[in-house]
Amino acid sequence: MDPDSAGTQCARVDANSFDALVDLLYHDLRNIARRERYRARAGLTLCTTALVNEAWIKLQRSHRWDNRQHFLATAALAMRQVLVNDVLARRAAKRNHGESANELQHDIAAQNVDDEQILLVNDAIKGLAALSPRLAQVVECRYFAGFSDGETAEALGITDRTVRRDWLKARAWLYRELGEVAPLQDVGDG
Amino acid sequence: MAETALADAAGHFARVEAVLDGALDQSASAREHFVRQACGDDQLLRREALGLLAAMTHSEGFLEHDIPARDGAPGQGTQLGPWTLQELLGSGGSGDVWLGARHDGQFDQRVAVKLLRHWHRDDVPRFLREQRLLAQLDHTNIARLLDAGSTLDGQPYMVMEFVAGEAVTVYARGQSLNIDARLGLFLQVCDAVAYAHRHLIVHRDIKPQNILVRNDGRVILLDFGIAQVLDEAATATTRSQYLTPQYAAPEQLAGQAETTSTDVYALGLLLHELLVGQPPWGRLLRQGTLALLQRVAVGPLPLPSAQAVGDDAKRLRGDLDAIVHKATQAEPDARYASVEALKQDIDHFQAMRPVQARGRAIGYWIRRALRRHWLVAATLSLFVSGLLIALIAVILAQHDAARDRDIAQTEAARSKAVRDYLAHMFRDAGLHTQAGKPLTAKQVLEQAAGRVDAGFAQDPAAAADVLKALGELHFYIGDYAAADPLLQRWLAHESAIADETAAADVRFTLAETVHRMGRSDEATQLLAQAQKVWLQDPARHADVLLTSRMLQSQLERQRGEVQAGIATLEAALPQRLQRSGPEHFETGVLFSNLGAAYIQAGRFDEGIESSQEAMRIWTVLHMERSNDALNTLNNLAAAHFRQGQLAEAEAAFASALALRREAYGPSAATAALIGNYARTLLKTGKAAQAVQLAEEAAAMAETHAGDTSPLTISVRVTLAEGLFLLQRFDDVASVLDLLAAVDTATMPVSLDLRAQVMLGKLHHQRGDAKAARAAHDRARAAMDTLGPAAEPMRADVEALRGRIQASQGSDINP
Repeated sequence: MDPDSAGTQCARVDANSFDALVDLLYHDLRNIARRERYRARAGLTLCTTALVNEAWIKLQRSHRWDNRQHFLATAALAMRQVLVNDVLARRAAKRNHGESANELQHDIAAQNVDDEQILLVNDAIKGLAALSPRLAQVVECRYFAGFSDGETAEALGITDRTVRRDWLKARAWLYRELGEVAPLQDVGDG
Repeated sequence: MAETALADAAGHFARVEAVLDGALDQSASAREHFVRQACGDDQLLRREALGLLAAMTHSEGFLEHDIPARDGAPGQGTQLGPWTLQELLGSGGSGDVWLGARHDGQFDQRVAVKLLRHWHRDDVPRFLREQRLLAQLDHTNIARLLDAGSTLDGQPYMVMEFVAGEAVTVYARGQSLNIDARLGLFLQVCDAVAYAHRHLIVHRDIKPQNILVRNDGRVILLDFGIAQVLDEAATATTRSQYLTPQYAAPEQLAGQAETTSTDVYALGLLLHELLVGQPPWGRLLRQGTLALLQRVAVGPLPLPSAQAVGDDAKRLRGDLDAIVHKATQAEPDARYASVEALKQDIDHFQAMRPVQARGRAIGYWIRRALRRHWLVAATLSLFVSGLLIALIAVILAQHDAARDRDIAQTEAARSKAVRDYLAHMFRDAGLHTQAGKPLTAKQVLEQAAGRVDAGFAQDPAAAADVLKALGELHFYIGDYAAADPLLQRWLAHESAIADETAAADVRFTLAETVHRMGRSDEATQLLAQAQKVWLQDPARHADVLLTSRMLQSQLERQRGEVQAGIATLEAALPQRLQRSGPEHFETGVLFSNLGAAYIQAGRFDEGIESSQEAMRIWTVLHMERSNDALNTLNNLAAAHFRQGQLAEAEAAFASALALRREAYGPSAATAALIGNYARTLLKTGKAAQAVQLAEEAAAMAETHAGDTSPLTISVRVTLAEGLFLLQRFDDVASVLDLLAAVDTATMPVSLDLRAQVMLGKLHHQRGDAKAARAAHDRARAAMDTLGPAAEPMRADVEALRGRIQASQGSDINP
């Protein structure tokens, strides 16, 4: 996969450690996503947690991270990239082999919804990053990496309160951007 | 230009954000008004801000991953079988826990009902089968599983005994428990887990939140087997959600097989947290993905002592560090083989015996020592024995002493090292013997000592170390005859060695040695010399000074200065309490010795009180089975015996004997103890049991102390007394015949007294008035010689005189 297919890097990370992390996470995520992701009625958070569960020992062996903040931000970006690549890979596979060959056939509807959303959000936060890089980073941490508010705060070096506000703003922006806009009232007044 | 447009857009958005941030500070209903006010005439800003504000409300739940609650989910008042859900106690990864009660009125019972979150309909039958297995777990430290079933929806639930208590770590912190008390809690957890393992059930989710302590101090382990049940009812993905990243073992995180070893790992982490007072991976950890990433970032688990502070850190260093380290190895095979083995090491630590966990470290010690001490290498490379380790341990400890300003601390560490490795050595020595290669500790020591002389010429300092170590080791294994010349030789080189503190050390050990060899005057002199050196800097040597007061008191009492001996100990007590606290090993020793001193002075009540305090300390330290406790029990039994409190004496003797048999097997001291026990039984009218024990003791005393030793004689007299009560007079005669062969001049007067009384009774029984009277007269003379010490025998002598007078009517000496 093209490493840039995840789009704009929201977090400022060092390319070498980022590549190393992606290498480590990528294989595991694909395996897990394939095997487990849609079997339970669980969301993306569970999936990424499972991913890290299986990857952490390898990480421990091969990497030392002096700067925690840097490490976490890198991890969030890596997860985003791997998730997106995985969706694209699955689509490519489906085109090549046909749906009958897909072992997840019975869950295709659910899979498509989630896959679609991953790609849409991935594209949309490129636009958000242009307006406010920090909001895009919050989305990266909260949505792609499955971090909690507190975890996100730690990764970005901001307060929990700021994360909660940013998340509300970013989520609203994406909600509107992705076309699920609710009717507005008396906008033109004033 | 595009870049300018982009910058404009970002600048505009920053203003929108600022307005929205302000709005978010308002209550929900006031936000729209706030935005309108804040934007003023800027229509573009207002449109954008209001648009996003509306989207904020509508996007609730968007991009969130929480599982939506199902309709018809159990809630307050829901009835499940005979149980009614009353109050939600908590929500965890594995499900919701409700406080429940029986509603069928059969009896009043509060229960905890756990509704599992992740389940699959197909798995419910198996879940219920598993529950029936779990319900068989019946242990005081495990929350009882009472019931299990499934809701109308098919959601599985389990009903457990409701436990009111605090998480074990919270409890330990709240009560400010010391390390020993924390270990006590931990051992209770181990008991529970070991019990379950014996029933082939693995917990798999041991963590402080699952371990409650009731206000009576009893530990209760919750959620046994839930992880297992869940695992079978769920996928690997959902499993990852209930796994607690803080406490999960590497193999769990990797999705590999979970075994009893998984529980050992979690117990290791729990021990770590209990000892240090904070979670193993540090305060940064939270739940979820980040926690796992943090575990990666932290790297290997730090040692407990590295995270603890103050005195705790010192106590943790060494054995407890090693125990936690071994339990938390990443490779399951490298951990303790069982919870029992882990538990045993904690026991060993508390009894100050060597811990299994240090096994690997010993190799390291040897290598290190061989590098640093060429002479030791030359001396010992020929020997294959645990003693080598003991020797090196001592030498290393001494080198540490040279570095360490805190002499007392090192002193304690050193004596502990010696104790540990001697125990280790004896275990090995036993194995060698069984393998047909008897190589006693003493033999190894002798061979080593033989080589020291050669080394002295080449390197006096190193040879001095070896001499001192060998001397001390001989002392600790009780071979005083060998320790004596070694330590004397050290002192002969004293001026060349020029180490005043070490010299005081050697003199103290030598004083202890010659004291045990009966050379009390020499011991007194050596001790005084050592104490003189220490008193030049009493603060620095406070600990060894206090310890030396034990020997000082013994010597004083031996000289007949019983009051001085008591005063020495009484003066040491407050200092010891201040230095070591009320529940410390050294404090226990002091109370035990003080008890012995009081008893010696005839102050039995005080003696019993001090001995009981010592026993309490041994119990707190889990040392109730130690050699020290054995000594205390002996004293206690003797005091009760002398006080005529025969029931108490009997109980104390019985406990002491059980301990001694277990720890030492047959020996002279065991024979003496059996003899004393038998005497007590005689007085409580249990002659048959007494005779049986006395026969055993007599044979043992003969083997281990010799045919004519006072011990053997004493036990034989006891045997005769018992046989007499059983009216086995011929047997009494044959036992007394054995005594007649002993030269009475070498026999202690007190024993002669008892023997003559017995002989008089036998002669009287057989109608030999003349011989009876002769025996009585000799007993009488012995009483006069003994003075007050003969008081316990006075009644027996009077009784003998009464019998003789009654049957003969003739006068005998009053």
